[in-house]
Amino acid sequence: MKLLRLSLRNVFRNKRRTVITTAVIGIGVSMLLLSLAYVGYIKWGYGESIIHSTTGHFQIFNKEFHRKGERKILEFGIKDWKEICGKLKSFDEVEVCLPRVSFMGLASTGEKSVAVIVNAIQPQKEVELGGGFINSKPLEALSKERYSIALGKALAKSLGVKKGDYVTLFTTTSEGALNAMDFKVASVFPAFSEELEKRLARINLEDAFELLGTKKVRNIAVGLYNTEDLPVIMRKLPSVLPPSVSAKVWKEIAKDYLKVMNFFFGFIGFLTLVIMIIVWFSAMNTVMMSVFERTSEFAAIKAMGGKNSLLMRMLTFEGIWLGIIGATAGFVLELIFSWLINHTSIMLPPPPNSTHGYLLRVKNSPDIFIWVGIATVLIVALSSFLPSIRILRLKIAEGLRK
Amino acid sequence: MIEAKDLKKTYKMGKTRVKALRGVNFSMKEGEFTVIAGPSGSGKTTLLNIIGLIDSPDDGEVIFNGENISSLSEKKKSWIRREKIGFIFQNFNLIPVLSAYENVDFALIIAEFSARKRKALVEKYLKRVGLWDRKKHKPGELSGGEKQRVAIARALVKGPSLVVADEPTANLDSETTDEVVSLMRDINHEEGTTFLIASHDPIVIAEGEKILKIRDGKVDGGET
Repeated sequence: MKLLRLSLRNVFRNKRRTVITTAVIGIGVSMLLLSLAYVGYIKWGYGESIIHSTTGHFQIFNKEFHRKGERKILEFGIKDWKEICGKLKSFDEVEVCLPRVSFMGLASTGEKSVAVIVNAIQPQKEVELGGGFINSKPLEALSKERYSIALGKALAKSLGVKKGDYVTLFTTTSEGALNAMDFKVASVFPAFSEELEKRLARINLEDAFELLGTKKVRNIAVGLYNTEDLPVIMRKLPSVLPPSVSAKVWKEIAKDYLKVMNFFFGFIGFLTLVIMIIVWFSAMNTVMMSVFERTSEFAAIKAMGGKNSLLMRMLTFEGIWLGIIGATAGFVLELIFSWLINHTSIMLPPPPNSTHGYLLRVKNSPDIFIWVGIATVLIVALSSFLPSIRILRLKIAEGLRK
Repeated sequence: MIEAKDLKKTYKMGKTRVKALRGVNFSMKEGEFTVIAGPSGSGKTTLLNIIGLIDSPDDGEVIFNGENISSLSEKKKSWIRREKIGFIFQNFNLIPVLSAYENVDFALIIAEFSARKRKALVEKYLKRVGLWDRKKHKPGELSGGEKQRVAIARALVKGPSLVVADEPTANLDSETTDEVVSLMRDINHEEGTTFLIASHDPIVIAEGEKILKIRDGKVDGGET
């Protein structure tokens, strides 16, 4: 304890230098934490956005669908989806159960035809899942009357139709016959991806059953009240699902999510390395200067019989204190910055292939603070190691003359 | 107690070789108050450093209580310095961030004394040098004489067989020099601690029980 106290006092011998060093460490730590908090927000926000706008927390498929190729549409669909949804809804964690059908077709106005991907859904339930993550108006409009269709904004433009116009949807039935139905354009909607917006159309599930000549669904998307409950519900699933179906969690379905996150983690890894190198050199410079200035003092301690291990411990403790003070300063700075960021409305430009920008937000995590704090203290403590080697080699008589 | 036999030491200063000691012989008994006297550059500090085991001779031997200590390993020398030798430096070399009490205590921490023993010993020696009421003051708040008295307490607190002092009064005025020298002499008388002091200060030399005059790296005119 005495040595810890002595080390702390030594850190503040040259207050100006210590303030500069801890400021460098603190700014580095806060920038790193802010970057991690930004990635944390992206990870959380992007994940939740995928869950609520697209995948749900998990989806149930016919096991054969992923094993074999379908010769006819919905050959490997789910027939008893109502029963499965009923069982799933009995779990407290489950908020909504969404039967879905997806198929390829041709949308035509008579003058122009465009190949489309049709999602047949229960719009009101999709709104329940979407919450604040989606624009619910196009879905609500779709739910108001049967034989209505919602078109991607770019698709509507390409077809030259607007709300209230009619389009004919061509596709093959589950028996392989060609079928067509007229739909009234209920709404147009922007999609996250420009490519998707040119191809995507949505209709009511009941209409799709009629068009496709089957009551099967492609999959059942399930939304939970809390994403944290996903592991719990996945453990419960086997007890209620029939053996013909299996479940996939959203990360297995949204494969781009991992690619995007890996990109961010690679960037953050590089940034961490750069910041930690700056922290390392800044701390080492301070300890080196301190060692240089205190050469005669170290020589005197060695003359009194002070062991090298004692001096190394003292310098390492000084590094630890510098790290603790610097990391604490970084924590405080980061909390101030993140509060400011989360209370302003800075819009970021749309990502590539995206149609709309998003608000800059950061999401702090106590775990990240702990790990960055430990890493900072360790790096700064290690940075005092090289200067301490100088002390080990110090010749007492020479040191005392300085 | 200590016997130096034909000690030689040469320093390299750039391309120049300086012969600091050219074959020094002397001896001192336990409890003696010996002063190594001589002008600047005569080799007093080099001799003191070799006796105090903080430097090694190129040639010759130092016998300490019957054992040749000049050829010991650095670890063993460090142990002897820690256990048997107290140091008083010209520039005091107190740790500026520690109080007078803590500076004296630090010598005992180095020597790995228990906390209970440390408390009693620090109190005893700070009282002995008349600084108990200044125990909380840091070196920057003490006068030169007070700093050197703290340094004396620090050197004595672990009960060394030998106290080695290099120009202990060089940074003090004559009145304070008198005080500090009297203090060391009193402790030498009362506690029988052996003192070996390098100085060219006439006040210090006058107090020497034995004076070893040294000039150009050699004992000049023998011991008096």
